[in-house]
Amino acid sequence: MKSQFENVTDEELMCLVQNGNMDAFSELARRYEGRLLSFLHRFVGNVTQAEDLLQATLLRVYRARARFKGSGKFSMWLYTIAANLAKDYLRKTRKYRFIALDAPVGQSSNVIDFYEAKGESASESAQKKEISRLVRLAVERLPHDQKLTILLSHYEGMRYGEIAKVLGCSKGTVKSRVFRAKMKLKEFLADYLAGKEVAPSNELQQDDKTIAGISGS
Amino acid sequence: MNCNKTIKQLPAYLDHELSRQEVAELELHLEICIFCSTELGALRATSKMLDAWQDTSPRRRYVDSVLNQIRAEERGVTGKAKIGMRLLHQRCVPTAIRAAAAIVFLIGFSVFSGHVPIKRTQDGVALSGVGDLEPAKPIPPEKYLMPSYIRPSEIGLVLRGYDNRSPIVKTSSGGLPIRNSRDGRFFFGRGGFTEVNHVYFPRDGMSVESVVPLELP
Repeated sequence: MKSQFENVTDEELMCLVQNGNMDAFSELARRYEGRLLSFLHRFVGNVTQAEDLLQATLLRVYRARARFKGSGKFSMWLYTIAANLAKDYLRKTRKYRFIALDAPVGQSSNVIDFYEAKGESASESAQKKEISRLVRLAVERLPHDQKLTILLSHYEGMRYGEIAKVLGCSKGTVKSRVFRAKMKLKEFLADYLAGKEVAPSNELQQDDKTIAGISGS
Repeated sequence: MNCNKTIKQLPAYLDHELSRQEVAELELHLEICIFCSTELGALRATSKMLDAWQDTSPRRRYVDSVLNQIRAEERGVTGKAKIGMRLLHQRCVPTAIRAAAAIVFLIGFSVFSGHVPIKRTQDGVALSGVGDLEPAKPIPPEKYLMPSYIRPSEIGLVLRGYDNRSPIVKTSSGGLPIRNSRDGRFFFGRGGFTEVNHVYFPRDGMSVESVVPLELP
């Protein structure tokens, strides 16, 4: 069934939302919830927190609808809100880190997972998971500002100028962050790219050390 | 253009963020410099590898719960109680004392809030929320595994709950390996898993949260 808003732009929808049209808001949220969830999950590293942040972002969008200026691009305004909420969340939780065990089965990160993806052989599935895990670990090692920049640039496909507006910095700063982040990622992933066997992750032990520090404090 | 400047421009070159003149200068240098060409290849490979980090699939339609919350707010009903509990989940508690305080607060809050009764599921998990527990639903033994052996000294803090059947669990493991059983539950400790036949789940739409210490099987 075709949506009544199929050919309506985000900005036009936002204009309808400003006039109290909840269907328009629902359509906007539907358009972005998948992308935004992936973005937030990659940034905070925890799917439940990402879901909470996604809902908080959508709520903030609705509550602040009057502040959206029709001349701007809705997606950038949306990502600005999401990024600010996610940065706040990480700032509050940076000192102490809990192991988040909320990944749905098949997407678990730091737990022993008993599942395999459907339709793939065990080795294919394991290889895909391993590459995905290596990338995730590498990106997680980046400082927050670089991580955010890479996520917006590589995964959200934003131009440097757009990222600069979302993050409230200059285009030169974005360019510099992308450069530093990419060089670090190249270094972090060098072993895999060189075709070397990558040793099993000691991620769990690292996390546990963090947690043990909390428990013992 | 020298190598230093070229290297700094490479990520922006790959992202199509350079001006025509910059591209021309850079490509001229790349033709004569093996070092920079190799570096470009490595950055290309790194970018390609980043694609392996897959998107997160939404587990439900988040917009529905956001719309419900907006409608509730517009009716003058705030979700402060629920948000308060969620915030407690989000904040990382630095010490066992603070964690215990959170447990007492949450359970106490649930008890004295009047409309959020505490219920205990068959498997010993305390849940607070509105609604009833669903009758035991048989789960094939191979889909549900319980830890057969965990020493009390190995148990850390467990914050757990459900949000429409999606388990929400955070834990400090005290440095132990963490496992998740096939139904999405999480345990830490050493030893194997044994099978159990069934467990209670909250009904659809029942919003529940709980903070309980992990109980020994």
